[in-house]
Formats: sequence, C-alpha cells, structure tokens
Amino acid sequence: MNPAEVRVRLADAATALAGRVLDALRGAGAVGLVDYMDACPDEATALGAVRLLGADLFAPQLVADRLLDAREAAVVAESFGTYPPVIGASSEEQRVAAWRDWAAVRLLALFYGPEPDAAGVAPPDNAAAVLGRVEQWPLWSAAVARLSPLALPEVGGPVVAAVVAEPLALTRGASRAVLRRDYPTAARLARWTALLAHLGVELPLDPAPLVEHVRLRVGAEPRLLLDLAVARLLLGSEAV
Amino acid sequence: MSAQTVVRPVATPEEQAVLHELMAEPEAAISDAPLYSPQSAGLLLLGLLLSPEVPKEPKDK
Repeated sequence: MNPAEVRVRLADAATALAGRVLDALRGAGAVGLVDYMDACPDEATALGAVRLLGADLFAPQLVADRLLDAREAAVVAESFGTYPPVIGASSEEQRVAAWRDWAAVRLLALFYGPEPDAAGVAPPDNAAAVLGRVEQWPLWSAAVARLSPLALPEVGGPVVAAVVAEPLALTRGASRAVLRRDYPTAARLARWTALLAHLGVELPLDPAPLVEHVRLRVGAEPRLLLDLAVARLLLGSEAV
Repeated sequence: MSAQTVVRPVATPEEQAVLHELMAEPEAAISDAPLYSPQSAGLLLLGLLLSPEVPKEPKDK
C-alpha cells in the first residue's frame, strides 16, 4: 500500500473514531472502542486511528465523567504494540508524536495503572524542543495547535505548563488563525484557551465567543468538532 | 492442551511515518485573510473623476 493510500485510510478511520468520541461527549453512551475495532476490516488501520486520537479517547472520562471500560483501555495499550512509540525523536513530526503518545500513556496509567505494552513510551525531554521560542509566537502557537490533545485536565506536564505561562502568545496565535481563516488551527488553539480559562488563567480575550465563532465556520469534520466540544465542556457549557 | 498465540499486526516504518505526519498536521500554508488594499481606493476615485458626465436634457426642445 502506498503512503497516500495509508494516509487516506488512517485519516478516514480516525474521523470515524472521533465521531464516536464526539457522540460520547454529547451523551450518546460509551465510546464503544471494542465495537469499533470489531467493525473495522483492517486491524492495523483501526489501531493507527486509536493512536491518532490518543489522549482524546479519554476526553469523555475527563470532562464528562463517562468511563472507558478495561477492555477499551487494553485496546489503547495494544495500539502501542502495533505502532511502536517514538524513541529518540529526530524530526518535528516525531517530537509531536512523542508528546501526544506521552499524554495518552499518562492518562492510561492514571486510570488503569501502567500497561506493559505502553511502558516503552519515554517522557519527551523538554517543552521548548517541541514548541520553539515564544518570541516567535506564530510558529510557537502553530506547534501548540498540533499538541491540542494535551489540552485536557489531568494531563499536565511541561507542555501544559509552558502554554499556561504564555496566555498572550496563545491568544495572539488564536486570533491570527481566525484572521487567516485557518479554522482547523483556530479550533485547536480555541481548545487550549478554554483549558487555560478552566484552570483559572486570566486571558486577554474571552474564549467562549472565540469557540462559538470557530464552531460556526469549522464545518462537519468530527476531529475538529471534538476539539470544540472539549472546549465547550471545559468552559462549563451543558450542550456540545 | 492447546496453545494459542495472538498475532498482532505491526506497522511498517512507512505507515509509522504517515501516522506521525497526521499527528503533526501543520497550519494552513496560505492565508485566506481579506487583505486591505489602499491603492484600490485611489483607483476608484480616479475612475469616478475620469468618468464621462451624466448627459443633460437638451434645453431647446
């Protein structure tokens, strides 16, 4: 299978899985990760989608108190067996992947205890290596957007601490994304602004109208709607 | 006694690279922002000044 074909299959599988997580956030029951695995014809692609969603699979548990069951947690751990975790990241993509894996494993360990399959995920080195210099806030905020699955309560760690320390750069980046009409990036940064508001950080802009503005323009892509649903729940909205 | 071994698929390096690319989706390369273009105001004004006069009703009718 050529890389373009793999890309389409993984993206489609992740979109379907994001739709399930979004439904769980909206109160339609559990994520149904085991059903999803059974229904997907290609196990490796389905496990890739699980890796792609990563920490977002725990979003219903963290922001809406809807538990993944132990078998679903085992599927998350199994995905690290099929797609091995990044060790010694050398490119920007690998650094982002390493942090996203770290967040997923951290939540997995928090709720279910350490899993043997996921034990190889090393804690990435420091936040500056993946985010860059905050003085270059357009690049810095684009890197923050790529790490949007970390914008969940309980994840914590150096990246969240670095973003919490720079509300001005974050809101500049979010405003820039809205002005550029780059709504995928705007949705991811809006989620971060919602997390900061949830943590009691004072922001130079009100995240609620930002989230609403982006939500009306982002279309029907479930992965982006998932970012915005998490944002709305973090801001205390009842309906997502 | 039977022994069962679960065979787990392992992604190829190419598949892993695609997964990492999808995780690190970059921001849009081209901005779609509406741009302020002050020179167009001048062009509109020039066009207005150079436009032919509105025809008048002939008096000796």
